[in-house]
Amino acid sequence: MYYPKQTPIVPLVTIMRDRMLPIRGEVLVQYGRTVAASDTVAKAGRFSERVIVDVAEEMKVSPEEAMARMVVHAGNEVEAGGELAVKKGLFGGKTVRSPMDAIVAAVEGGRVVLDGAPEVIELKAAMPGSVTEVIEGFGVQIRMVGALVQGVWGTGGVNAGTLQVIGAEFGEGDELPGSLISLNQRGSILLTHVPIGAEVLDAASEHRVRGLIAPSMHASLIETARAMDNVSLVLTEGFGRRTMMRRIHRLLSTHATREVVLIANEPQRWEHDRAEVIVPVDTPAELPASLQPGQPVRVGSEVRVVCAPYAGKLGTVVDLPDRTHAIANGIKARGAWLELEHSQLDKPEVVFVPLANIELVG
Amino acid sequence: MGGLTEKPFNSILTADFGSVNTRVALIGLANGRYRLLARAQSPTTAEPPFGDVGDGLRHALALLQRMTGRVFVNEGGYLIKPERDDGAGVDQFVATASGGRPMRAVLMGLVPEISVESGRRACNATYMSIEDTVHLGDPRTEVEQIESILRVRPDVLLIVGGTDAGSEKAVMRLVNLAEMALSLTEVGKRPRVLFAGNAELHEPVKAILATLEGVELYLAENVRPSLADETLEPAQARLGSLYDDYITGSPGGFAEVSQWSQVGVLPTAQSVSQILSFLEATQPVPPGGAQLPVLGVDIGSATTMVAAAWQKRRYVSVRSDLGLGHSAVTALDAIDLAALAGWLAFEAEAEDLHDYVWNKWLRPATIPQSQTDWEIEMAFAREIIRAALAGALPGWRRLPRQGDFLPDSSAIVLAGAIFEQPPHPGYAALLALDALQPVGRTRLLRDPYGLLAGMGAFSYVGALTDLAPLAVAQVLNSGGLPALGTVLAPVGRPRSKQTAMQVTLYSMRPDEAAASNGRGRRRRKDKEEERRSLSVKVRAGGIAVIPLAPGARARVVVKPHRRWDIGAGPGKEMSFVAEGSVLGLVCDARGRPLELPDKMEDRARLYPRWVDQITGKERVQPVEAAQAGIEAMAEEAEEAEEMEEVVEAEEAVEADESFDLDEFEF
Repeated sequence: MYYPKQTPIVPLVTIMRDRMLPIRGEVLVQYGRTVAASDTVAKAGRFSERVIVDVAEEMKVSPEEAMARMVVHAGNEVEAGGELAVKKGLFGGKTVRSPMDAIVAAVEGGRVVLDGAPEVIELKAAMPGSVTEVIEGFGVQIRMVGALVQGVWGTGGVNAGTLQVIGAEFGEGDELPGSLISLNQRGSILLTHVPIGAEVLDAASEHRVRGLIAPSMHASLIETARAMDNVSLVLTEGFGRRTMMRRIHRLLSTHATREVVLIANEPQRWEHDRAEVIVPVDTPAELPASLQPGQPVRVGSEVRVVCAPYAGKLGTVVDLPDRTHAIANGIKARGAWLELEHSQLDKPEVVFVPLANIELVG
Repeated sequence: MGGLTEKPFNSILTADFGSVNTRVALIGLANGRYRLLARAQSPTTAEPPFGDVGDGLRHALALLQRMTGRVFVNEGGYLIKPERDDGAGVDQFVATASGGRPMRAVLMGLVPEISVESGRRACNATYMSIEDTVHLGDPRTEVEQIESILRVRPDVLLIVGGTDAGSEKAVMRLVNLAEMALSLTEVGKRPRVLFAGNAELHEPVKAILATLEGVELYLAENVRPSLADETLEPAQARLGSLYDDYITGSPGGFAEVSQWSQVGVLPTAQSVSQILSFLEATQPVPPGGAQLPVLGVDIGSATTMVAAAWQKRRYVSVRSDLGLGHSAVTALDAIDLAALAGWLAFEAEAEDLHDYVWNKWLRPATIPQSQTDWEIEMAFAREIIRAALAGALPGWRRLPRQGDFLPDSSAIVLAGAIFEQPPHPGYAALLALDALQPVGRTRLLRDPYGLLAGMGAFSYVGALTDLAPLAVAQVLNSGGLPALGTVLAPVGRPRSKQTAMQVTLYSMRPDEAAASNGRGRRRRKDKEEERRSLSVKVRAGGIAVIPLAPGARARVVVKPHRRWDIGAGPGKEMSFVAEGSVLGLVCDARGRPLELPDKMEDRARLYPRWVDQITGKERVQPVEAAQAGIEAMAEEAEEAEEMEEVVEAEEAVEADESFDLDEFEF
């Protein structure tokens, strides 16, 4: 049995997603409540400024002696000008004062760490659904039903908007022109099946679109993409000039003009979260099944090829030989014989692809 | 942990958890010797959605069970141990890991080029990632430094700095900074602290840091006791044991696997270096010569290790930022894309190479399927190994070495899928030659079965039983670590059409009658004197592979050109006994240092030729196809002279580079 990665491309599935604060705070919604994407579900206070006051240095004493002169402890609130440490002397003492309104975070080694006034972080639900779990102090789990496509890379952030399909007239080898993006797309999430370039990223920022779903772009644009102001980008195929897998484009296109949620997670090796596109639908009376991760590849499995020369092609496994087989460059690997979808040939195109180069679809 | 085992083990199961693959090997007692019986591999499942390496291990064991018919796990999914009478289970199990989450460290030191660099080398002995470095030259404010430590949330804080009679105040300032950062970290999430700086500060450091709630403080010998000395082993050993604790306590299922093994889950690098030491100690010492180091390279998806073992010391450098998959993107900080492109025989845009690397990072397990991708992958591997080596060499100053070249070695062990995937073993040898550029004579060994780590871990069981070293030796000596080839790489600069060296082999199969070489002569001599011989002139700028099959032995005489040095001095002959191997003698006359052509047309012409030469597509042209006896050697010399005249004629335009036959000492 071989257990490849899975790429969900499913029209209807029950989806659970966590929305979590980066630091401990307060959860504002209760279990079972229905939330809209714009609802605030949790908030927290984060210190805006941190200052270290070196009391020992200011008093010209050893750290041990400075510790003996402290008049504050961790957790104390102090005002600007408030006393932190006091040294009395016959010829005039020395008082070290707080430079700002603050909370004393630590007093160690003759120094005082001060945290400035906190600023509030608000966490939006970012997706419509119902709260199925409250993670005390940090956030919630939201359940929704809808179509789900997982991408391979994202710029971070979560955004929602109306889906618009652009550049449908372009084909293999083309790149989406930035001129197709205008003010008409403001607030939308744009879907294209051809690669994007710097022009598109600039135009998306300029016209304030909320998100982009594209197959690929050059990796040299990563920093530009990350720097886009409030525009989330999800790539479905990878880097370079890859076109979108047809099934992904077809599935998402059917939801044009609907509200979609873009969770543009940048992949982290040790984290579950992947970039994804969710198209929420009204919850049916009977919930559809959830995803079943960790499935083996079998004869009949639908798989996506992720490497050249068949990158992005969908195939059905027709044979899974036990023995290794030589591929075009001579490397021997265990693999699968796939019947590729949409072959240009008259008869089905059956190719051998290393198991390492396929992902389960669905 | 089990107790003392006295009866012989019938079976040993090894598991190595890499970043991409989990490899298992079954070793058994057959005809009184321990041998590799079967092996299998399956994708590692440390990462989501599995998050448990035990799943991947069970998948691999299921494959092994299918191949051998042997049952390894019971109904509950647990390893059956010891081996049952019905043959199910195994007597011993050892596990190694390089594929877990690396231990995150913040390194604090004084001078970047001195103590910080030594601290970095100490960290490089195991699977650690240095997330931030705080030092005297750090332009950040103290607040920024503390906030960085808090943001990084390291698993370990390593504090170095100050020689043993040196700086105290500056080091204590670092300690106070660490104290501040620790006190701002929630109790229960505070990192462990290892202090390996000025040894005279142990007590004050203990007084400050050991008293903080939830802080485990460890003290090790100063990594830099004086400006001239570096003592890494104590700090490395402590970091190694911290890693053991860390990996076993980390999510990913290592805790359960650890319980199955007598020695827990050991770092792969530690186990591999153990075997390098074993090989170094068991290599034959050349007559009149000295024991040479054994080197090792293990290139993986997330980490790359280069290591050396010599005179009971190990020099291990693990780079968690260099790898062909998971660490492909971080590797871009250490390598130059232009240098990578320099290994390609086709024009490649930097943008395309950048895309390739990022795609490998996205999908680390993928195998290059097109020729273009394969060549990029090999080029990437070359540069990664070179970067790892460049980082390690400053710590290898004690190893014997000619100039700035790779330290001398009796063998180099090559591990990692990139050395196993190639369609021909010649590619693996070429990768090693290009990346490492060894000089003189050495042997290339491969680890196709992933036994290096497993056997290294098993040798630790030697502390519990005397049988382990025997098992390790028998497995490695019975084909567990096959030889790829014997490399002959003289130092020199290739000039057009010059002969860099002449290599002559005298077969050492005394029972075999000498055969004629096609000139119709056949001589009968004393059997001890009669030997088959083969003589090849190796052109400068190229590679010649002289087959010497596994199991065969030959006396080899290498006569370099007067401007080339095989280790005995320019133009000086070298003679040794070679053991057969997959490739045989790999004569690399491309020069040292290896200079790559700048022009694409030259690369497009040359690189495929090197591949053809090392894979045997372009066969060597012997000076003598066969030879018998001492008398024939004279004739061989005559023939060599005749052939040399041809060479000289070809070189007429470069008179000063002509080959001087008089300098050959036949």
